[in-house]
Amino acid sequence: MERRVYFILGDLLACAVIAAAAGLLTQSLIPVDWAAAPIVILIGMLIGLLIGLFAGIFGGFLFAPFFGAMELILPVTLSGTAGGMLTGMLHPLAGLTPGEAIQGGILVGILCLVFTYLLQTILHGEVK
Amino acid sequence: MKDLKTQEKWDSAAAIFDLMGGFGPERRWRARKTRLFSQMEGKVLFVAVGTGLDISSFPSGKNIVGIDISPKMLEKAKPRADAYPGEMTLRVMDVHDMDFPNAFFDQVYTSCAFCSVPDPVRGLSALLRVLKPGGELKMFEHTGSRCFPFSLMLNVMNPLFRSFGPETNRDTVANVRAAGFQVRKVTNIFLDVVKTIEAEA
Repeated sequence: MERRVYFILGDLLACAVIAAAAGLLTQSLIPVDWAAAPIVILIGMLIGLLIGLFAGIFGGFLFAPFFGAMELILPVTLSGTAGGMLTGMLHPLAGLTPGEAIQGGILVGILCLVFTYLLQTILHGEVK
Repeated sequence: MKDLKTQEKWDSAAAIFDLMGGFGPERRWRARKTRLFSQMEGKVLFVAVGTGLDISSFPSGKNIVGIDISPKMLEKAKPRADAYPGEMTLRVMDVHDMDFPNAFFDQVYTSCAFCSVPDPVRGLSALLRVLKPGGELKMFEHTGSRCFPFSLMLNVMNPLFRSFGPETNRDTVANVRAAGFQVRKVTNIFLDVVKTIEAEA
């Protein structure tokens, strides 16, 4: 697992910022008056997924020169995708405010980074 | 025959290559690369030397030939090669079509090269040809993943990334085996994506 403070803070910053941006973008693009039918939630999730995926890839390029290539691009893309999907599902149901979308995105970004770090502790090392 | 399309792609990338990879990615990987490169022995071929970012991680006093398909990359690598405290030469060369004699090198090193070589198995077979029998191939590469959701993400990213740079979903370990090498050791550096591969001719 990464132990250098510079890179841990960089990962954290990039994941939180991109997931929050994906959440905010999704919140602003999905109409709040959508009916909370399952199909609408699914459509919202797919819209959020696409927005989040592209926000994640863009964010990866934005932060990679400072904090690393795959080590940054993968958790950031996961954070953007998950942040967008979650907002896309919740916004038609609960009518999120921009602040709530940002807060949710930050939380999702941190969780995605923790997931990546945990997976790294399992996969790291010689392959038998 | 020179692959002009690949050459143009990497000539175009040369202008921003150090900006994208020179600070964060290199700092993140330097210790691992230095450990791998510290095993350099005998006559060494370094494939896809690029702008020469890796040269500062090479142990001093070695005999190294660096090749790259892009002349613009090598223009940037030249001052770094000149400053290397050992014997280092740079050549513009396509790994698929190298003009070195058979069994010429003791070792071949690559660093994020076989994510970009257009025909990886043919390129690796060419490395097998120029290596002495029992010669070593040592690679620092990023590959595809077998872990969801990263496997899916790398597949989705691939069409975008390969238009201007590397592919993100290759199975380089399988390609090394398919080219005829004996894989001795694979070590995951980051997830199952960034790894070192050590193989024998």
